[in-house]
Amino acid sequence: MLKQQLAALQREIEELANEPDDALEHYTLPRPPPPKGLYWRLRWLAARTLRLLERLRLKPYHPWPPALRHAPGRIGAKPLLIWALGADRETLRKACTAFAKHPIADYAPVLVTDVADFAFYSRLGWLIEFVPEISGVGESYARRKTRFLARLYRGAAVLPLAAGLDIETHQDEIRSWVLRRA
Amino acid sequence: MSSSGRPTILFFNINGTGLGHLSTCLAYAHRLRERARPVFFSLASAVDKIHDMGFEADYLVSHAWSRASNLHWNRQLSLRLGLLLERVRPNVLVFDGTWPFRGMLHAAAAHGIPRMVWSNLRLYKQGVRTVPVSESNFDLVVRLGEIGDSFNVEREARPGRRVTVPPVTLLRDDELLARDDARAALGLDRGGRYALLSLGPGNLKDVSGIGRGLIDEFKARGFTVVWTRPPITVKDVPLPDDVVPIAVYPLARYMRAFDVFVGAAGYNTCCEVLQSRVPTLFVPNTLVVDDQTLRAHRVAESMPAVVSPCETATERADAVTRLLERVASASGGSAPLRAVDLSGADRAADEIAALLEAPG
Repeated sequence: MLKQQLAALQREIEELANEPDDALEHYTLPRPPPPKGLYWRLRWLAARTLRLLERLRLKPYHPWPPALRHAPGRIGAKPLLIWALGADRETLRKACTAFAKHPIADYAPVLVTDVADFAFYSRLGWLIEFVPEISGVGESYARRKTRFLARLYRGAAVLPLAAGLDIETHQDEIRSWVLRRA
Repeated sequence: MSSSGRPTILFFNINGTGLGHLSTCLAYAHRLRERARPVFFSLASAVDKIHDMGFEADYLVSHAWSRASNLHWNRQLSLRLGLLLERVRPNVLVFDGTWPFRGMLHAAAAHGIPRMVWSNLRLYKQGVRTVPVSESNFDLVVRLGEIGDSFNVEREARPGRRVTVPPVTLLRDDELLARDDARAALGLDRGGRYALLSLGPGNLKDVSGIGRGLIDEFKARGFTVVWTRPPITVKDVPLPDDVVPIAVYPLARYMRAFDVFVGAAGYNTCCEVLQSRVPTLFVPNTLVVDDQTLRAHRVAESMPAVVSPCETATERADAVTRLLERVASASGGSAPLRAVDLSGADRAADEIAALLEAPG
């Protein structure tokens, strides 16, 4: 049953990731031009050198590392998405606390949520991907951001929030599911 | 223009050592809510506080918390800000922070935001490097004045009109609870003797040692100690059982519940102290770019306040003694409080509102 849930969620997110959003390409940041002043020019040069080393695979390439600076986990940790859209606050807290008690080595949790419970999140030390609904024009903001995140984390392991509630029972199953995604 | 017919203002606040940048944006938005629809893009992990004030918000992990390189973080910023810009189509973007990010400037230009505002502090420590971003990228630059500063137009021409505003407070004076009301709201005894300790989230500077020492000092002098737990704290300081933890925002609303206050000398804290007039012991954070020590000393010239690093037991004992002496002499009427202009948020809001009406 749990395996089916996990596979279904993974499929759902892959489908979302396959929906393009060409309009956003407009906002792709170009490489920076050299700044003025010796200090800033040296910093710019150092950044260019690092990018070159990444391209040559002489330095690991981690464009969006999931582990935060102040939290345990190394820069190369893989993202483990906790998909928590539509959850209520109490369930979310309970499940996240359970996930936090059972970390998976070399993975850093990324909480995808529409619940604004940031004081709790700050103490968790996880990367938070917030998906609010914001009124305005065009497509639903929450839906468009969800698709953006699905593309950003394409291929990453995803767990539904409910897995956290069952983690004591299904710990091995969840772990092996995540590790198989590597 | 929003569905309400009001123009939309997008506030973009960075994540500082505390909630200062967020508070400044909220102060402006609070004054503008009748004239515009404020929406937030926050790098501070306190979105629920923005919701509590009645505004919509999105969040991106700050560059200070993320391990992404500067380039990659700015790329994410530009894309995500682009998402929000397309949805809310703001008439004005107000950035509050030290350094206008490249990703933000790119997204704003790509979207074609009609007006840009940069709000920033004035009081930096000597030797802090100038940010290599031209003020001409902005239609308006608002510089946050310190105690004693009045409204001043430093440069008239746009783009880059630059004004200094008096100190900015999030709440208006009449929104601060009176002493008994604040105590009732926090569940404190009306007749108690309370010291509020709010030394910051401790994310940049470990405040646990200083905090424990000050707790002992105040307890020894008959105070019940109340300790704030800021929403963006990543690790709470363990507290003795007889210390009362509180998690409230904005703190200014409840400040008058306390007989004395202990806090770092960040911009917003100093403004809140000036507004509430609660006798204060300032423990400046010297690891940040703004000159908290100088700011604290200036505040101490206007009201009962003392300044100390409180690093050693002797310094803490001396600081608390001096504070209580100043409290005693102030209650005896020997040192009248000096009136201070705290209308900065209103002045800045008027300047931003004027942009909405200015011809293109």
